[in-house]
Amino acid sequence: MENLKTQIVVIAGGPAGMSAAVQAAEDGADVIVIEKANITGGAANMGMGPLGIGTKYQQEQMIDITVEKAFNMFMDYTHYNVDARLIKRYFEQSGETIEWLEDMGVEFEGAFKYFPQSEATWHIVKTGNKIGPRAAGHMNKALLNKAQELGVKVLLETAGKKILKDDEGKVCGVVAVNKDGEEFTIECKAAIIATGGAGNNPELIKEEIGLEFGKDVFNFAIPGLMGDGLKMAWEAGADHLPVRIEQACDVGGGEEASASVKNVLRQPNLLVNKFGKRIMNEEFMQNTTYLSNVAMHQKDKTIYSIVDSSIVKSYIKNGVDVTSLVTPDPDVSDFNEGMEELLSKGSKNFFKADTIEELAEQIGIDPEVLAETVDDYNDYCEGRDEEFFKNYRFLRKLKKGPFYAGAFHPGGYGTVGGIRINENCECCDKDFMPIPGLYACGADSCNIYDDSYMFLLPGNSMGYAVNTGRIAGMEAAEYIED
Amino acid sequence: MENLLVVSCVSDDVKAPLSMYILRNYKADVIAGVEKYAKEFGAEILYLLPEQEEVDGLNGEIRYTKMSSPTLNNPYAVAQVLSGNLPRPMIQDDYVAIYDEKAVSVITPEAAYGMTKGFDEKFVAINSGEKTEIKKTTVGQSVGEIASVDSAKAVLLGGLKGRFVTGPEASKIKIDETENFSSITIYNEEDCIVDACVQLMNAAYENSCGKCVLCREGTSQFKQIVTEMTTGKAKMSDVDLIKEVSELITIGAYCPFGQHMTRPLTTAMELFAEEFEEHIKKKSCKCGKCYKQAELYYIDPDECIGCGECIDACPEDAIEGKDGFIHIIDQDLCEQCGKCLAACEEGCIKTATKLPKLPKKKTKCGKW
Amino acid sequence: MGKVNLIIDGKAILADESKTVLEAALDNGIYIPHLCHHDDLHPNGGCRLCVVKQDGVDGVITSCSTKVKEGMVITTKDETAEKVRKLSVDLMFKTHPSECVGCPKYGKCQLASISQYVGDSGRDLRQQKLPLIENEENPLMLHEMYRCILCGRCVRACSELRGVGALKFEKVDGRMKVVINGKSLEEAGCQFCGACVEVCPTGSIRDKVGVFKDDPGLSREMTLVPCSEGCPAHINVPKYIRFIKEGNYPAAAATVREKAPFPESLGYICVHSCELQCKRNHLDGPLSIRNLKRFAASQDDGSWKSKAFMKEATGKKVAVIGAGPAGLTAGYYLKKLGHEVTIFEKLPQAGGQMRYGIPSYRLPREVLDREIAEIESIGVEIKCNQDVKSAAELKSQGYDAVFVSVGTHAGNRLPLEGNDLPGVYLNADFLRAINLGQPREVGENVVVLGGGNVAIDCAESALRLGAKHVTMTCLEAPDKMTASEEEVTWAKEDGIVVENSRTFDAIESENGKVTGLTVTGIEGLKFGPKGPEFTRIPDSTVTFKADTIIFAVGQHPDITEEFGLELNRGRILTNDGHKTSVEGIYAAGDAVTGTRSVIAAIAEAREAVSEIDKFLGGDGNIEENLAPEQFANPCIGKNEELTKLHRNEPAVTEADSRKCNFEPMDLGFDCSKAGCEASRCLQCDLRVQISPQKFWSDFLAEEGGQQ
Repeated sequence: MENLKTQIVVIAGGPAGMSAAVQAAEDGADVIVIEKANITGGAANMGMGPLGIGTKYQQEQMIDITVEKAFNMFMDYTHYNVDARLIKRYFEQSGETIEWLEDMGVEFEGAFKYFPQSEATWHIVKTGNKIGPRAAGHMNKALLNKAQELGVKVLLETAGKKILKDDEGKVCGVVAVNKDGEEFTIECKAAIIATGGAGNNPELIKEEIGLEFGKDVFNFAIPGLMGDGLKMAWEAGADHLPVRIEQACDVGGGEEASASVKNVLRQPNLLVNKFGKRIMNEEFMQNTTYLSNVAMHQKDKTIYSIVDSSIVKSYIKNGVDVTSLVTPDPDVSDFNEGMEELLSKGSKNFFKADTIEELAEQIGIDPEVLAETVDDYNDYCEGRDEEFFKNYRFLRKLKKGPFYAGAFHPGGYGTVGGIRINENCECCDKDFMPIPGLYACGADSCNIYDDSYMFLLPGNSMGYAVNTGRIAGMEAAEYIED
Repeated sequence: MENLLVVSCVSDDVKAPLSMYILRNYKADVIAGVEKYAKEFGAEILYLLPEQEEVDGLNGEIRYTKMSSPTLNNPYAVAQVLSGNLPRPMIQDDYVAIYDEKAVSVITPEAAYGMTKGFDEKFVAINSGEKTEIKKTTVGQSVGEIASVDSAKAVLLGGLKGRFVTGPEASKIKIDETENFSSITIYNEEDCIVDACVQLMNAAYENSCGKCVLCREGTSQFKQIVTEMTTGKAKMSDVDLIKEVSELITIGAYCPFGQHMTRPLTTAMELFAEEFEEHIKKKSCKCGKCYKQAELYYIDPDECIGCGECIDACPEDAIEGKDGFIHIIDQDLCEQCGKCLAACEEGCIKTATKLPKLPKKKTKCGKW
Repeated sequence: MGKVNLIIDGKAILADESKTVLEAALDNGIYIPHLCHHDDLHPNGGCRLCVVKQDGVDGVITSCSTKVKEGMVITTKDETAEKVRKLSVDLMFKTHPSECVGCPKYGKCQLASISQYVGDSGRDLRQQKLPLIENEENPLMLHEMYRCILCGRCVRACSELRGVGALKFEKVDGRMKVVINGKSLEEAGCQFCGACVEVCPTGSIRDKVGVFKDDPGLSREMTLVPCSEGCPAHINVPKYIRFIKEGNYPAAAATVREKAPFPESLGYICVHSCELQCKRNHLDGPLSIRNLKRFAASQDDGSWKSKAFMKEATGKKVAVIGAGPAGLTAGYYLKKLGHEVTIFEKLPQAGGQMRYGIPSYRLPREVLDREIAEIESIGVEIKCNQDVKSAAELKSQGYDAVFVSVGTHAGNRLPLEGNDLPGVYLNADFLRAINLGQPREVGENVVVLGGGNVAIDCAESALRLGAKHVTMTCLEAPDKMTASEEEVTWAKEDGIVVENSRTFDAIESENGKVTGLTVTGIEGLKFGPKGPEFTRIPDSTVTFKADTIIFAVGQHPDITEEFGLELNRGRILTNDGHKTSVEGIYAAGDAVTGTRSVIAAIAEAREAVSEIDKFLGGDGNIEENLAPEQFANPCIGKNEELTKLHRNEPAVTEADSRKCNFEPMDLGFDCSKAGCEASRCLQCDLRVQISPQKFWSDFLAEEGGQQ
């Protein structure tokens, strides 16, 4: 395959990469995007929409979320352990980015919360007349069409391999591999890395984070996220920051369970650890980052949600207590079939037993301790939850066998962070000096959540990807002019 | 390439079993028609009969099938059935269906009969209640003349692809004038139209050959949604949903069956909008067919003496209460088996379709 | 075939009348979404995604089932058509898992790609998911039919393309499903050709992990034909096996000759790494590819010669040092490229390890001589008994380029005390002596150190020279020995005792005469950067009686610094393009990589030759089509025999009569056995014929993006 020449090469065509390409092309640069998969969109194909602050949707819905409020909330949440200048620039630009997307034909349903305690910053892409999964796929399509309209060349099934630097240490090219395995070089002045972290690379997760894929952490890894960009950046001299898992708790330890089974076990009932003790106010289970953090600090990094048949029956009859925009359907009528199917396959993460003691034995918890916890819990159900002050709406007694339990483990969509960047998304080396012509955006460069994903401002990871993509695109387009 | 003419006697409409009726009662005319048509392009003749049918004296090889599908007048579907597969039609410009190296074409007994006796005679099946009667009529005759429809609550003209009309309107319609249909199904006052639509949609789901997405998944969705209308799970927005989706299916489906299978439901919804609304909103059915009144059990708070007899009787242990306290039945667990009612000597367990105000918390007897 | 004018989306198009509207649009870079349509299958029309608006026709028409007609005016982006498409995608996703995360097909899935293009509408339709059950019955393919959208591509591919019909539609308790056509896989007659996997858009039927290599660096063809990929020279294995099945043996031999000039010799001694990759390993056992190649080569009638290219003289002179497999191959191709070639060989005859390493009972000499003569016949000059002291110095004698392929003719001597006693030999010297006609004498008890093919050659040769008890001992466990399986079995049949997992402690001797070898048992063997690491098993030290000890633990090139090239741990250092440290001097084969295999040496020599040719101003292309065109019939039809035929073993002279002489022992296949073995091939190359799945971004790319 013969070599190519352009001004800017964007490595990977997810939300970050495509946003960078479109922004750079709008600012007059020649751009080539190389994408490993055969469709663009990356993880965003499964997301529903980015974050936005100070948008017309929020004004219409009388939501008072300003850049100042969000910024301060964010800095408190991360106890100032992040780059405030980058956060400020990201939040300030996020409102205008929603309009930027609308100009290229993306429509939004409005601004939404993810769970009751979060802010309505999540701008879900309109899919038709109802909120549905894979909504952000439309945003990706609009980004691709806009990119091609602006003359951006998108090379699919082409993976990035190496960043080339000239003797002055400036980026001068990118080595890539096409779908027939042939290596070729793209000459360029600037390269933007946007490969979306290493969510599907167990070795790298073990090495960087020390978590064992499939034992400690169950990652609903998006195929293709292997950390190629991270390695390319580190190899080109970028500072190696800690790579972290974007926490989101996982039900069932990697076993494929039906939606109803997961939905019932995610409801805020009784949550215990391996010692049979309650571990949190289950009301906040909906924030899967908090739930994952809780699981991280328990024995074997495992916690169990327990329900009884009276709870299951009432959910089947009247739908579940708490729904979210990702699992909007309250109907869990096929819970029993789903559970039988799992148990018939000899599940190691789902349990059913006629008595609490039997359930405890199956899970490997001390039966007396669990029985005692359940009795205390049932007493709280009659009055007030003195242990964790859970809202009485979610106090349902566990009184009638058979009892069901499901194992929860820490999990995550993928990894975040690893490449040091400054507020212009320039990759920086060990002593904070930018590497001329090398930029990074999206998950690879996302060190802004410290150790826990900031779920109180939902849409944050896709918002970060799109906005840092734009920043990288602007800066790169400016850099290649001089 | 030799030609093969298949006489497909598996009627394509469950509501109008005409093919076998005509074959058996007018065999001579059918055979003559088939001969005439076969001679035109020198085709071998083969009869495709439903499994349990026995007809002798036919001028061609006989093959049996247990398949019944609305697609069995399409050559490719017939070829598939003859080679042991499920029928799947092929509507493709100049496509020739092949079965053991012969080009297949299809004729039905109705068409064969028409070849000999001309097309102004028309057979129509009249279904009312369980009875199906097949009558020979002439084109232009009005429905009212051949079936007593005036007092009918509703009439379905044409089976799974047909449309609902009111009795009086039906009686004026002339057969095969503006639209052709081969069955008239009469529904009277005590028939619940929503339940009728559930049966029709179940039949459509079974009859769908499964090749095209809109019909296969469409019938499956409609069947579930209409059934939910009779169990109180549907919402009013489902009515518009069905209308909108049917409109697109009628345009986008692959074959005539797929395009028209939504008509019975949409026309029924228009004609009997309030009956549908009653089913969805009030969750009740005046014909008593759906929502068999669910009897809910409760303990009368004024009469309960807190003796606890009912607790032991309940297999689902859905009853809570201590001595001297008013007992409460947990409606989520109660399976309406009625054992507690029998166990209570005070007779204070009663049933009703709507629950009166009941205590939520433990309260002593007499304190209510 | 008449031409028809029509307009699609305002673009005037000329298409011949046999084409459908969809084909006409796609040919002209206008993308119309389509899912159940596949270029190699007859139109289906079930998915309703390809509906378009035709002026004058109300509603929509199915573009994959409607032929083009004169004067048609088509609008693909019509509002109603888009709505129908959205509804169809919407309905498909109600029965399909809604979560793409964690799905192995993500990134290659048609449904995800089309749902991104068309955009589903998120209507309030009911979820009707299937239970999550996988079917593992098929050893090569995984059926996860809860992802199936019933497009019917697999059913059509299996019945029409392949004529097998192992899959069919069936209503299972009312719901349409794709199921195996019969009570069991055998009854359904699956031929494991993978056509269904190739056409399946959603990954409901997938290759099981490990059947194919998952390496983005490999092309599609190399990934799908594991045997050709496994062979270092990438010989087109399925093609020549198919020629054998058709009885066209010369064509088969010609196919092998396209990539390797020693087809029959390889047929005797190749390490057959192709068999390790053969897909049939997952069924009952791999094809016996080596023996098939040997049989075909033995029936070669030289018909390929008429098609071989021979460029006219370029006036350039190239010297080759070492007439082993690498040297001879390089000389052969350099000559064909028109350069004047002289091969310098230190030993009395050409052949390298094929003559002086591998014993004659493994590779008959008249086969080797015949194939070397073939190389000389095109004008390659071989000068024997020429010990070239320095490559650099040789180059200065008027050669435009030099190719070094001196191989590894010096045995490694382990630093054991007493390792230079008279009864202790090195593998290279011991075998060379036999092949030079003056074999070293061996005592009654012989112990051979090492577990590779060379060690077995030494042990078997010692047996044939009259040794009574021969023992082989090595570090590796039985399953980790580098020797080929069949050679270990033959050795054990001949009474050679193999002592695995041992480390060598010392050579016992009495007044200068070898008496035994002391070894200790080991476990947990790992080859780290600094050599083998293991733990010694306490009190498992034992001494084997031995009058003769033969070191067979590896070999190294018999050259030193003065040869004029930079070495790296005794081997010639080359960077990419087989260039040595001296400009104009190239090197390949064992001398660079250490002892590997004849086929690896040939493959590297070919690469080096094209580098040399480019260096000398040529285009470096040595590809040639020697075999006739082959029509690989995709319609393989039902064949119950396929799974019943198990691997054929070659005829071999039985142990007692073979272990006392150097006569050839592996008598290979006769034509009936070859035909029967060849018909066991699963023909993986048929799957490469199926056009790969295209995605909407491929079309748009042609339009706007990817020029």
